[in-house]
Amino acid sequence: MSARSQSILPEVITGLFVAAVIALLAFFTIVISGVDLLRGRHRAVREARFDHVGALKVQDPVHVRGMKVGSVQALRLGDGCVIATLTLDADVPLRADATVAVAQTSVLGGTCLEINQGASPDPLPPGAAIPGKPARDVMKELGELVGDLRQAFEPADVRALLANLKTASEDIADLTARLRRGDGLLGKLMSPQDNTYADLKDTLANLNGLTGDLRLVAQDLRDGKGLLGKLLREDDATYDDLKGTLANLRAATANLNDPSHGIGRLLAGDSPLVADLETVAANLKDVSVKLNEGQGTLGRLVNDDALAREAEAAVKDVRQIIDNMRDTAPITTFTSLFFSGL
Amino acid sequence: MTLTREPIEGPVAAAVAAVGRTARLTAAALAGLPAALFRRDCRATFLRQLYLIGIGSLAVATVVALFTGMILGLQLGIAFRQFSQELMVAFTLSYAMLREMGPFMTGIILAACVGSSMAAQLGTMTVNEEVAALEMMSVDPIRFLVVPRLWAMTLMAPILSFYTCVIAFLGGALVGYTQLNIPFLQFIGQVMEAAEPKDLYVGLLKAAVFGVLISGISCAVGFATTQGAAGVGASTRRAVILSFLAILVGGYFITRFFYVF
Repeated sequence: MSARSQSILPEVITGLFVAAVIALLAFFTIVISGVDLLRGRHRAVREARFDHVGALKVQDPVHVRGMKVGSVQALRLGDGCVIATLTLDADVPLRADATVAVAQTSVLGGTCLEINQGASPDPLPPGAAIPGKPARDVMKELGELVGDLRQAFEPADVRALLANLKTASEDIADLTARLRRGDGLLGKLMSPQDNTYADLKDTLANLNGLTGDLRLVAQDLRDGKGLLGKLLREDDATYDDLKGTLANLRAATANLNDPSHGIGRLLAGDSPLVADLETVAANLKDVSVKLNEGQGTLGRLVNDDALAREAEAAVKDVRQIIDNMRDTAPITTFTSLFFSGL
Repeated sequence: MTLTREPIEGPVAAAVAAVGRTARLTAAALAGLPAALFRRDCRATFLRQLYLIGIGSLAVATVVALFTGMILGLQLGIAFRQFSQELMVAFTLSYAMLREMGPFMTGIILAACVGSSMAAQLGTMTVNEEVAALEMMSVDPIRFLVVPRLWAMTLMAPILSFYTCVIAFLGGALVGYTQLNIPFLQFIGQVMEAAEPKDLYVGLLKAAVFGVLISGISCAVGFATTQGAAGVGASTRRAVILSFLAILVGGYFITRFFYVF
């Protein structure tokens, strides 16, 4: 390396460093001034009119549905309003009824503009100002809220509230004490000495078993097992049979109700058989009455024990006579033959 | 302006006289900008000083800025994490570095690295009567020695300050990415979103003023050196201490001027 090169090397290094830092400084300045060099998107300039912008300032972001789409370029006083010049991404669609509102980015501070794109079918004409909604003064609203609370809670109300709170806390203490002692169902459930929990557990186990059985029954029904299952199946012969049986029953019932048929006529009371049956019934009734009153031979026989005994004795006598006759018949016959032969 | 002086009785009067002498020296050096740019001998010294101040301090400035950014990022992150506001680290770091920490750290580094060197060099020349020899040869020591140093420091301090800020942002972003789960580019984007042109340029102006103060004090203290090698050492120490004080006091008043009035 020549002496001249060595002498200018520090100068070159210094020059490169200074140039690099100045270039970075220029880039930084351009970016923080609001020029979007990094994204390289096309920008559109819009104006918004506000009655009051609150703490809004230049370079504050502009959001659409939470997405940053631009920034506030300038703020100036107009005729009874504040006019904010906004630079927005050119591809953000704005409708004729679009509005813009000053919003807070966090409770710690910071403001931004929130654009409502609108729902009108017509687009926002070029150069038209977006109507702005007034900024919400959170501190003022908080102050009003505190005032309202102060008015709502008079000292007497606060005392009553405190008394209620005290009562509630005592109730809670009593409740927890009862639970600790094992009183009541909850206490029993929480008590390790009580069997309620075990019983409940057994009951639940039984219920689980029952549920399993029901599941099996349902499965059987689904599979078409049993009468119900067969009935529930759509294409089954049992259903058809039952249907036929019901049709037959319906036909039989119709026949019964039809006076033109014999049974129907019988049920309707139009048949001579009915009159005959009535006559027979009357006769039978008459006979039974006479029998009960002991009229006639049969009635006396039924109601009079002495007659019955006499009849029984007469039968016995007749049987005796017949037996005697049977015993003497050969002798008689022999005698007859003997004497006939003589 | 002659650099030869008579001893002044009394510490207060001596202090006031030292302040006045420093102010006159600084004003004369500031007025000598054309000489630094257009006179060949001055220009060579000027370029040499730019290299010494800028490139010579670069390594120290890089390490200090990187770790300052990382420390700030970590401490602020720990604090903001309690409120789930980790992203506020980028905002806070941007404000802190651009407004105050960048120029302040650059001033401290330059005072320690370059200011002490200036005071030692000029003090040695003074006790060796090289400055007196220059005056005898009708060479203005201010134009020949002070103007290139002061203007080199004044021009290089803002550049180093901005460089310090950028490195600190990178350090903060590194900590944000590794410790706070903030994406690197998002952190840098938040830093840029938080940065205001006023903060940036007031910080650069502050660094330039610090450069003037450091070089003016160091040169004045160096020219006031007496008593041989021991005096050179004392002048070096005094130059660093006075530069630190000037940076702190000057920084406060500049901040007050631009952000309160």
